Amino acid sequence: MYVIKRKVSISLANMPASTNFKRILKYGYLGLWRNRWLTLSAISVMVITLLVLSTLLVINSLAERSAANLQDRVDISVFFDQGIEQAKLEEVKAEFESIEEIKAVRLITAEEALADFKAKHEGDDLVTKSLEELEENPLQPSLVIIAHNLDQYPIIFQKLQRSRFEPLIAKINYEDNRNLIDTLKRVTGGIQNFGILLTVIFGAVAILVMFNTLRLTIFSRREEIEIMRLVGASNSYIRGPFLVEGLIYGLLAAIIASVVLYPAITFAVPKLQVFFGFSLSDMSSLANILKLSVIQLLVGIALGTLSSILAIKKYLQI
Amino acid sequence: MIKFLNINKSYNQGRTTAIKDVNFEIHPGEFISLVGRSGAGKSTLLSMITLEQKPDTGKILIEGQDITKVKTEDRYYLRRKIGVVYQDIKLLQGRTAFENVAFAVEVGGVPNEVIDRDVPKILDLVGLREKMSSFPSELSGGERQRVAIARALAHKPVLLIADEPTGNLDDVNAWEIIQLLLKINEFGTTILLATHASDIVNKIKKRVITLEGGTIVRDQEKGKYKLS
Repeated sequence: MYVIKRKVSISLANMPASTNFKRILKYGYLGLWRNRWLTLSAISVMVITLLVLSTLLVINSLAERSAANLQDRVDISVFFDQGIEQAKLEEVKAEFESIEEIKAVRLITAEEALADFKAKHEGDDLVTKSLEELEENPLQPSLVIIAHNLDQYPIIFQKLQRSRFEPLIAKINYEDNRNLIDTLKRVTGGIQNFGILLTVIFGAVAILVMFNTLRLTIFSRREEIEIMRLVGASNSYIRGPFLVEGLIYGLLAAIIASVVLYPAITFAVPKLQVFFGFSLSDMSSLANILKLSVIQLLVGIALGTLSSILAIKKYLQI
Repeated sequence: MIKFLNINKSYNQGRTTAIKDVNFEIHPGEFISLVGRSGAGKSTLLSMITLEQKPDTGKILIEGQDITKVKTEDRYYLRRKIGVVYQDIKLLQGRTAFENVAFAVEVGGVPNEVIDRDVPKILDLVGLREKMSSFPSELSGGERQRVAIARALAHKPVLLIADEPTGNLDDVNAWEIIQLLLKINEFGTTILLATHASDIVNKIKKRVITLEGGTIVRDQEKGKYKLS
């Protein structure tokens, strides 16, 4: 026969935490399943958000690669007067190489320039004949300068103008490239800003939808919550399932988004490669896709948890 | 066991007095009937024991500890030591009698084996062993209140509070519920019964505390509920 004792209730509080944890997980999962249509809509919005984010990351990476690719083609050419001694050129080259912002300097002698020019116009009779009529080499020797990054070109330009070899310099070919560099920077920055804006908007919508889903779950279970409260459930026991629910939203959405992402990237990369004209094979590598999936997972969990915390704070006052 | 010391409580910024200078002590194993008309302050007083409300001034000591100092987030611990039965019963309609009782115990982190072992015993005690798998809609009013009592007992509380438990029941069912409470009291659980049913109180023949306008006007051993 069951005997009601008076002073045994204290032992209840010392029950194993794992039992409570399992129950919190179970009720979190149950909440999802009972509202599966709501869950579906919440997860769909989250999946879209994550895919927009991933697309942004891919586009951003593409823009950076194009910039890097163009950057490699950008340089400053310093032309010298004809008849400058080879030794002097070597001296200038050594001096320029010591400038901090300069990555590399390549010397093109007048003879090399002529050879290049001839090679380029091989078969063009007019050019060949005109050159033959000239007794001297009409081309100037030059130094081709490459910086570590695009921002350094204006600095290098100024340094060259203030250099002690300035009187020897006939022309610095830089202005043409600056426009290209500036345009490229603007486009890259624009893509980034637009992508961030789009991600923020979708993120906000995802939070709102999940928040609303959890709000409905809380309302539909208010009787149960009320009784839990009255029979002595701790706050974490009552709130836990809703937190678990939000977390599962994020988790499921991240998994679905990753499943969509993998074929999308393997499909798109060869086509993009043709368009951009440089290799993108590392973008479709498993490591890169895995990296994107991890980002999606973290963002998904963060959004899910954030919306459940907001809903709990607003609608689950204990 | 529980002491109320100079309890005062008012609403509407002091314009409505709910409880005024209430002092009394509940001893272990007692069966106390708290009587008075609607609005006399019975429910206010009871809700202070489970900390749904706090008094404006005064102390409530349970085993020497002043519970008015307990933080809101720690109330649950106190609620596991006190069982409450409500007039409106508050059972979950979608769960069976067994599940309703088990639900209350789960909350405290009790392992499933213990629940499966203890809950049928508690339902046996309240006379519902045969109806363990029935849903509330399949039970009579009296039976539902028994489930609620079983749920309140599941935590093995030191004190069982019954707030108008017979309010929605006919005389026969009401008296059966009171007999059940008396039986539980015999096993050692202290009981605090709030009611305005004078015939029931007069049959119980235990301590009666009468509230009027928020103050205690009578506190008698083996008392009666006199309408004044």
